[in-house]
Amino acid sequence: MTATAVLEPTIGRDSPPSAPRTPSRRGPSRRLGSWRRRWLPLLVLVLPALALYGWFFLASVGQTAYFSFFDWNAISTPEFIGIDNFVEIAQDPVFVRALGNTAYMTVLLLVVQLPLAFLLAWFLYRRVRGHGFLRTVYFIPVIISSVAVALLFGFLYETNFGLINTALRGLGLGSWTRNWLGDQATAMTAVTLPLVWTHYGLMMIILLAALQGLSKDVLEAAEVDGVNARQRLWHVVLPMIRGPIGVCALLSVTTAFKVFDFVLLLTQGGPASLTQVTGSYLYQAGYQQFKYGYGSAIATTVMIMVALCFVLPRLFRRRRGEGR
Amino acid sequence: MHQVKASRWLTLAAACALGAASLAACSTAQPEPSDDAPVTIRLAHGWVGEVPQAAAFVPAIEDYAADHPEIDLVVEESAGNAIGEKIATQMAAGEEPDVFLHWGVNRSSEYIEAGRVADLTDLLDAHPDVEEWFDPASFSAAQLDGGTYGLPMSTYIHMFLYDEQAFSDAGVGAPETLDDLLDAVPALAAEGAIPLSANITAQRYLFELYVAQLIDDNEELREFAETGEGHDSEVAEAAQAIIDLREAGAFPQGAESLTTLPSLELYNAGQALSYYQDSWTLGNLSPEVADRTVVGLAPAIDASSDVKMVSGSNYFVYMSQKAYDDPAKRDAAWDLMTYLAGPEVAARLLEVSDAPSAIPMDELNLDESEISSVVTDLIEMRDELGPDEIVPLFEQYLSPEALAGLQDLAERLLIGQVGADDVAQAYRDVLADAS
Repeated sequence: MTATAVLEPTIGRDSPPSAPRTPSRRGPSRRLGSWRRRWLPLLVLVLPALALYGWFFLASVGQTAYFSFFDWNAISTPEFIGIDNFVEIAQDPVFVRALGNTAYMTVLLLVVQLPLAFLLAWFLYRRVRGHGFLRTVYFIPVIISSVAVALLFGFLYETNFGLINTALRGLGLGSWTRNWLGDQATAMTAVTLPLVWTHYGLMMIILLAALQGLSKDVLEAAEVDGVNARQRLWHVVLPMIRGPIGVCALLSVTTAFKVFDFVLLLTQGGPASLTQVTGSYLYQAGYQQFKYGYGSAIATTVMIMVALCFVLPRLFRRRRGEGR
Repeated sequence: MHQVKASRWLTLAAACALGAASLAACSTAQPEPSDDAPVTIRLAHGWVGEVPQAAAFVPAIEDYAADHPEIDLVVEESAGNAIGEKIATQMAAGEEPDVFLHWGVNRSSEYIEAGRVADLTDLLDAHPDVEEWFDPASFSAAQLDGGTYGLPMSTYIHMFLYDEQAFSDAGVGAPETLDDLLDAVPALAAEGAIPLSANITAQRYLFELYVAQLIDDNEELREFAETGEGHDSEVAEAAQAIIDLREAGAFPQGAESLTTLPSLELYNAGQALSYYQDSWTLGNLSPEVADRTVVGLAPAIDASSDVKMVSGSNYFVYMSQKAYDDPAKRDAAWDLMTYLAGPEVAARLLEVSDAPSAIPMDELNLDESEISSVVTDLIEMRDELGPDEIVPLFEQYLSPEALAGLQDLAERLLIGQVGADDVAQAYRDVLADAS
């Protein structure tokens, strides 16, 4: 086969792929025609999706990054200020606190939500009685509006007539009552719990699907080899669903960095920024204080940090030869 | 072969054309207006839902729309403070409403300076009767660089309400000074009740009143609010008063995260025996509780001070510059604005929502039987005070960022993150950050 034949696509209709080719002066134009036939229809079909993706995602992200270098209130003419917004972020104690709170929220989602979702998924996988009904019940919080959930938890936490404190007083545990959303010791946990409650169902469904896709042969082989239940779970099941668990962990981290609705609805980030997270802080900077440039810089900083959270471990794994 | 290819491309082109036609059908292309077509006016406001003014304001808008078929009124609502964010978004998108309710220039100056809000000076000059409706001082928070940009929609009066019978049962009288209140707190708490329902915002209002009473000069107060300079000892004393009240147990547990209307509910439910807040909340005071409620001045930190009360106007109705530039829209928008801020709606707001307006009560055609005695007592008490005895809120002088910083400072004071002696410096830091 000649060099030209190697470069030619093998699925062209005009000439069979096995037919011997001879070099021709018309080669380049033929190649162009073949390229057109092969790729142009695909490109035309993909173009709307690419345009939408470019407009709604790439352009938005690019614009956010662009405006992070400006002092701008979204109405006035933007004034280029270089990296001043990022310098201000580095010195902003509220941002640092918001970042710490977001990290705490991430840890809480990873150590509470993920194990809880796995336990429930395992429970359903074992096909306990009423598992279909339970699966629906566990999933319901996912489809409830965050406003309704925040109101519900607001009623639970309310200090003077909320359900939790009323129940504690009823049980003679009045000394345990506290301002759940205002106490430094409990505020961030109290703000995170509604998030756990609304998202564990989605993780449970992902993990349940992963469990249901496990090879029965492998599980039976493990049983034949005499592993007990704990060993089967720890050494067979968990390694086999490592991928979906990773997806759930990824969702947990991105959820923590994106959340702002529960925080704004329950505490507005207060008192004294005790419950401020990066999402709520950038929302307040942009929409309540007219600091769109600064808000964009916060968004860009957070985006880079989240990206690094995922890229760096992959790079390290690749260097250690695990990722291949 | 070529025919097949051509038909394939024709099919593809037809599909694209169909898609484009569908998108065009979904677009918002407007037909050419005719002379007798109604003028479309977009009105944005936050007096909806559980906001007390909603009970009077929403029906008033519906009545206006029904009475004015020549105006196609499009109402955009977002309850309470959320309207500020909605309007900010619309402004950023260049889609501002024609008429909107918003706070004074402290929170609207960005729009005014960007030329997005109309200066009403010419319209007010052309309609002197409209300007005469209002107390002249009520325009001050809507004025910037010699222009007047809004018509006053309401008046705020900070009020101290208390249950006279409950106070009497506890063996205490009406507290006139801070010391009286501090003395009364143990007796009121012994009744198993919260002595004073004041959430963190109300505590900030009380702090501002105490600073004003200790400075005791309106001009100096304004200078201090804008610079934070020169009154560290007064600020420390006012902050210590709030700390003393907190430590005495005057405020509700969880005041740090208590929002405004739930703090009124504590008073409505009898769990709190007194209440300090802005008068906009009065519409949610239950009628039974109103019957046993007495209106008083806030217990003073310095009884000899001239300053007695915080009151002013800081909520206005504005017209967009776009609407002003279109003669047909300008007339319709002005008509709507004068209706919303005028005597008819002001009377309804007072009768139905207990919301005081910037139009003096004796200028309104009121059904006295419909008005709560708490409101009339409050307005009469305010009207008896002289101009030196009334001060506006600090926030009239502060940008949104500085106001957020001040609120944050109040929260830090309440949860003990900042001591009384450090408040003045912390306030200067807030102002420096905001500038």
